[in-house]
Parts: sequence; structure tokens; C-alpha cells
Amino acid sequence: MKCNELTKLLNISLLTPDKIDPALEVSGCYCGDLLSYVMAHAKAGDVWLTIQTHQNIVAVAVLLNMPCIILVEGNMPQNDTLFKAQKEGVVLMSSQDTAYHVAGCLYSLGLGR
Amino acid sequence: MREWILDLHIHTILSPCGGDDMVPPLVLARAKELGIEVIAVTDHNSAENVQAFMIKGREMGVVVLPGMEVQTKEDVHMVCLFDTLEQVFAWQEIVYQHLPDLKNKKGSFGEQWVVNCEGNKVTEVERLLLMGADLSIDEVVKGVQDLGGLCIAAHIDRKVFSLLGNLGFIPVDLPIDGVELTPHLPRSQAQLNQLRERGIHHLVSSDAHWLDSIYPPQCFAFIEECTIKELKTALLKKDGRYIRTIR
Repeated sequence: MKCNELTKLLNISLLTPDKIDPALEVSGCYCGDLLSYVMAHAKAGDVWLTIQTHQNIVAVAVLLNMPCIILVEGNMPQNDTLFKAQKEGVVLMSSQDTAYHVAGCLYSLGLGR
Repeated sequence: MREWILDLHIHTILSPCGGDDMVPPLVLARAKELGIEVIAVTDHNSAENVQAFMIKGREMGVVVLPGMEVQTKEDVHMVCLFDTLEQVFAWQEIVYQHLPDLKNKKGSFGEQWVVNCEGNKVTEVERLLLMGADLSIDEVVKGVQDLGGLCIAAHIDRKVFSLLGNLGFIPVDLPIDGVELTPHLPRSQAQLNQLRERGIHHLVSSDAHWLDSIYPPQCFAFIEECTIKELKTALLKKDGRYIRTIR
């Protein structure tokens, strides 16, 4: 599945500009808000669902080759987080729904199965 | 200049998780007995017991620094220290404005008592203190430093409620004044190396919630007098000042 399909299939808005390749491929999903734990357990290709908005989330995504972060429950990135995501080429999205809801939708779409 | 013996992270009976014995006469007597000369009173998101401890501290000959352990939006605990009551109350005002307005459920969280300098219960704080304020870690560090305070990342060697646990690593441009390590946890060489590379110095504080968890002296500051300015200089290891810890 490609990142840009997510915005079409789910009620999710894209925060980073289109020039970051929204056609990046995602192959799984991970939910977590303790960044040290996510660093140790998420996998390359995962879409990451989190409520954390601090700029460190971008570094964690880059470290693990996670192409896309979805901020759930209407959380919006801090300015420097959005700036870093643009700079590092990480797709940042936001959803009003909970991580449970978004992960459920992704699962039912077949992601990571 | 000389070495002062410090424990800059101590809770009181105001913290819902704090013991009933965490009242000025008992805490200060325990500190004195252990030879600790300076304590900081750092309750969760509140400074309402600071004044009582400062008054009793002057009487008993223990320096009490006004402080607070604030919980950021990221659920990271930060120890904020000041020189004066005015400063800590100004900071408390900001924190209260950003704290979700939930009532404490005593049965689940514990009681939140404001006491006088003799340790008698005066009033209970009704709002729940044990939760994250809607302030990012950057806003907390800036807010505290703008008021003239010192901002230390609490117990970074714990898995939760800590800068390293919750945010994975120390953000590159976060101007914290130092970090705190836990007396009883093993030291991680990787963490110590990370601190050294960044030029960030550490304190060791007990984070005591009960009388018997106040540790014997772990942390010493070679400074002129116990002020925020001197501690800041010691944490930068400048002008002959330094912080020394047992390990």
C-alpha cells in the first residue's frame, strides 16, 4: 500500500507537502507513544500511529525507515516537528480518530496481513 | 567555596503518591540526620507546600529550594528549581492554567494535602495533580528558564515518565540545565557517554516519596552559595564550580 492511498481510504489529512513522495510504500503498522520502546520494536516500512507531537518522532521514523507517521486523536505537530518532517522526507498525517480506530481500518484494508 | 550536600528532588504529602510522613519537621530532621544540607521540594505540578518547608528549613538549618516536578505533555517529568517563592508561584500559575481540570479520585491516586510548617494538615488540593500539563517539554524548559529557574530532566534512567524513555533521546536543541539519575539504578555506560558527548552534567537525587526513601548523601555541589546561578554554573562545570556524585 502507498502512503497517498491512506488519505483516500481513511479520514486522514496530509500535513507535509506533496513534494515529499506520498507514493512511498508502507508494509505494516505500529502503535506506540513511548519513543524508546518504539525505537526497539517498530519495523521498517511501518506506518506509525502516535499521540506524540515532539520533533523526536521524526528522528525515530528516520532511524527505523518508517515512511509515515499518523498523529491520532486530532493531535497536530509542533512547528519544528513539521519542519523536520519536511526536511527529512517523512510523511506526516493527522486523524481525528483514535489509534485503535485507525489501526483497525488499516488492518481491514489488509495492511501488514 | 565548598562542597554542599544536596538532594534536589523530594516530594511531600501534597503529592498523591507521597507518604503521610513527608511533612516539614520529619523530612528536614531526616535530611539533617543524613547530613544533607540542601533539599528541593518538588511535588507533582504544584508548589503549595514549598513555603512551609522553607520556613521550617530556616528554623532547622536546612536550605530548602522552591521547586516542582512538572509533567509535560509528552509525560516527561522535569524538575524545576527556583530561588524564590514568587518565582515558583508564578510558574505554578502557568502549570495550573495548562493542567486538565479533573478532580482527584483519592481512592485511586492518593490524598493531596497542604500542610503548615509544623506538618499539620491545612487543606486538600481538589484538582488532580498527577497528570500531564498541556505544555510541551520545550515550553517547560523555556518557561522555567525565563523565570530565572533551572530545568533538569528527572530520572532519565527510568523507562517511563522520563526524557529518554518517552522521547527516546535528548532532543538536540533542548537547552536543559542537566539531568537527574536515580541512586539505586545501575549506570548505563551508553547513557553516560551520550551525556558526555552533549556536555550535559548529571545530578543524583532521591525522588523520595517516603521518609525512608531519602538516600544518604549522593550528590555534592562545589559552589559559593546555594543559588540557582551557582548551581547553573556548577552544572556547566565553569568558574571552578562542579557537581560530584557518588557514582
